[in-house]
Amino acid sequence: MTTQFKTTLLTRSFDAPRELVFECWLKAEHLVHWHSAGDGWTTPYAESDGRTGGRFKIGYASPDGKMSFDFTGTYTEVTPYSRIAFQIDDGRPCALDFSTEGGQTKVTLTLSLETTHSEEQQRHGWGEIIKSLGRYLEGMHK
Amino acid sequence: MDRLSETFQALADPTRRAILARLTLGEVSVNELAEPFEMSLPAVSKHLKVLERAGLISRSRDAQYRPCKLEAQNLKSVDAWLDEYRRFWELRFDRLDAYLQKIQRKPPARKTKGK
Repeated sequence: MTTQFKTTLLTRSFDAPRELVFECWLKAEHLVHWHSAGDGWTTPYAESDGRTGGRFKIGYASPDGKMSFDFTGTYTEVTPYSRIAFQIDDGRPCALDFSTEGGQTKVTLTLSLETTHSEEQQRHGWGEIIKSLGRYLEGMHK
Repeated sequence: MDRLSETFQALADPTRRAILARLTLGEVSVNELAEPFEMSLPAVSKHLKVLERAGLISRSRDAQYRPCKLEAQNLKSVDAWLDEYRRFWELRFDRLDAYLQKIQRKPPARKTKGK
């Protein structure tokens, strides 16, 4: 059985309709306005083929314009208004899940990897190993 | 595959994580490791090879008794990487929030932080 290994990195609720939030993540005309490296960095351009298997390329330019790079990847799953999964070209996998809660749109960002065990097992196991590692490191410092 | 991907692949298996958890208690032999898992020695050895390749454990070269040892540094780098990755996206979530408010011309929304 192949399922996904997931660990939730972030959850945020946005005061906007789910359709709009979803499109902000997928459409170049939206991405160019917010998807940036922050601190004065700009996004000179964004390209996005918002389909499963489609590519995205988001340009990042430094405040002084001297440095720039592209943030690129492939959409591995696009399910309208509920899920966008993608793999950044450096190998990092990501999934965004969209849901409506109390009139807001909740977006959950998970790191997901293919694996052969159940998600519940994985999530539990991940937490455990990080905890036991923490205990181990504490012990080392004594 | 880069080191980090290899590390994640290694961690994506509950048996291997259980092995790591056991190793946080101290060095053990392969025989001792195999015991609680009801697995054959070759099966355990296979898992150990994956962990070793990912740099999560090391094994002494003593042929008779090859104790396995946790290499905490690499696991720590996973944790640091997750943190860095979270910050990377947190910033974008902030900017998306601001952008959504702007295009909808609404007063600032209440932020709801997740777990």
